[in-house]
Amino acid sequence: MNILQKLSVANTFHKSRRTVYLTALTIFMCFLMFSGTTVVMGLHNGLKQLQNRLGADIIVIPKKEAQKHSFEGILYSGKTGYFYFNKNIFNEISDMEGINNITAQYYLASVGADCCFTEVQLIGFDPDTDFIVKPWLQKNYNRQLLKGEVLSGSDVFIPDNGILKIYNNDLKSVGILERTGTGLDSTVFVDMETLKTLLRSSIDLGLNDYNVSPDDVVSSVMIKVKDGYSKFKLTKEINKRFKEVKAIENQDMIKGFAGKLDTAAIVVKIVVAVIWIMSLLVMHIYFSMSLNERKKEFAVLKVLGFTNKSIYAMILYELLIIFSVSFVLGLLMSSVWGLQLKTYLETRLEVPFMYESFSSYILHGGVAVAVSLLLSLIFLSGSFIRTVRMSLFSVLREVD
Amino acid sequence: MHLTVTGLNMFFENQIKSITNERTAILNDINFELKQGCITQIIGPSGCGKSTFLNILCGLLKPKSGDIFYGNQSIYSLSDSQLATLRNQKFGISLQKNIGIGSIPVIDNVNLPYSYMHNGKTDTCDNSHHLLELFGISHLKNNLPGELSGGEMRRMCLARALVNNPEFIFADEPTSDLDCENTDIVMTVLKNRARNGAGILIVSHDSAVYPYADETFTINNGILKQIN
Repeated sequence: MNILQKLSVANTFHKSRRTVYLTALTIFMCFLMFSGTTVVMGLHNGLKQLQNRLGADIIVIPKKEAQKHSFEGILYSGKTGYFYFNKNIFNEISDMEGINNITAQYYLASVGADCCFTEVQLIGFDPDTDFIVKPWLQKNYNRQLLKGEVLSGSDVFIPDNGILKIYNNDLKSVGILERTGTGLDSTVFVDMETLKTLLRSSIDLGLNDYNVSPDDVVSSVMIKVKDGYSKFKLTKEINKRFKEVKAIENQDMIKGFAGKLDTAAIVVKIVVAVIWIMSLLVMHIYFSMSLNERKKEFAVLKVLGFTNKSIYAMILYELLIIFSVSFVLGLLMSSVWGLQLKTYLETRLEVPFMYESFSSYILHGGVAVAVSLLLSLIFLSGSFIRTVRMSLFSVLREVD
Repeated sequence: MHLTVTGLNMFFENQIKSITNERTAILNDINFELKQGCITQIIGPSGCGKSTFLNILCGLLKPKSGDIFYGNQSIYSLSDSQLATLRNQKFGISLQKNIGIGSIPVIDNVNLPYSYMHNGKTDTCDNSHHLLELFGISHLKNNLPGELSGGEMRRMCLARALVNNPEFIFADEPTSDLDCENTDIVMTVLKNRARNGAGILIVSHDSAVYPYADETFTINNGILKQIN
């Protein structure tokens, strides 16, 4: 430690009240920047994941459910739901022109009763035609899902023995899927045959609102349009031909939600910016006042032969000590708060929210805080350069 | 090595200057040489410009015209950092007002110019301890400046000015807070420094300084005049 660092440390500890106030203010700024950044990024990632997970250009669901937005509930917020329509529609759509891939999905929800381990959303897919779930599942589970096996979303509670009891059927959990930040994290995936068995059991137990034959229905149809064909035209065509269902383009499916997220992100950004600027101003006033008190100290250092540059370095070290402590504490506080916020956004506002990996979370938040601190430093540097320059003159004038 | 002043002029610009362009001369065409090996005392009524003269001489203030030469080098041709180095290594300055760095103990305050001269080294030099002994405040070395009396603070500031064994020492009212005994101690230390070759400029009203001074000047109406 050289003399400038020693002086900085001594000054920081000697003026403990000044240090505490300045630290509290910078902690608040760090907290604000880190939280703001992670909230905006979390919302953005949630939306991105959702878009990736949809995977289809057009989604076909029963018209009644489209009006109730049940499908969005399953996707975004982990609400359970199930609905069915006639499989013939699926077969007829399959014959239409301009379709590159088409697959059907089957939905079922377990219930919070003795027959089931917990209430959970189930999605069944056809391994032969699926192009939505399989590529994602393969990342986590590199083989074909067998009958009676399940893959669970990251938020699904798995009993210790790995057996999930659903409508009195014992299913074996063979893997947990990577996190998406969407409702799919609370979903259990099974193959089509397993889902049909479960559907039958739910009907037999009298726990299903529908009385359907599993072989005659599907819940949704996912379509990937051939290159050169218009999604819009195909959607229109399906809606024209089949009155019982509603075809929705994927961007329309998340449009309302994307708008909601954008608005939330803008509000967060504005609030963070306003509070940040106000904190910076308060910090500037406080910092200028404390520098003013130290004019004599700077003057005497100059008399002893310290250069302006050395005195700037000393103040800079002091700020770095305060900023480093604030950086760490700000990160810790906002991390704790961030987890609470995530739960709030997902459960209360039904917004898909996803943090990236821990390292990326720290990196992005850290960079935002570092940039914010750097800007503060640049903002404050004017005061300390002016004060140090004028210190000698004002002290000598005071004496003379 | 001599410190020479040529054609020094310093004006106090009146607040009504913008209307009348009136200026009051504080120092008027002063030529002066501060010699090593002797104590030079400046006396004069309050507000006559004694402290201003001292501050100009050690490069803390810049005159309106004239020059200060350290040897053959004009100190106004030096860059800020060169001037700072000169103040740190060749000059020892004790201001009229006692100012300490409140966050570090007395010994570190005294040692500051030495640490800075040695690229920030934080070891305490023997001279710091020796000076505290000489000035009779070694028992306060671990106290903070805020805990010292005016006289103790004055001696700390003087010790700090002397720690790098400067060629020139500038002391503004070095005995103002001191009793007779401590005045003698301080002046004896300064006299010994002069004997060892330092050039010392003392600005003081104190008659107790007079017997120690080799030369005495007065400033009256901006004119520097030797009286002894």
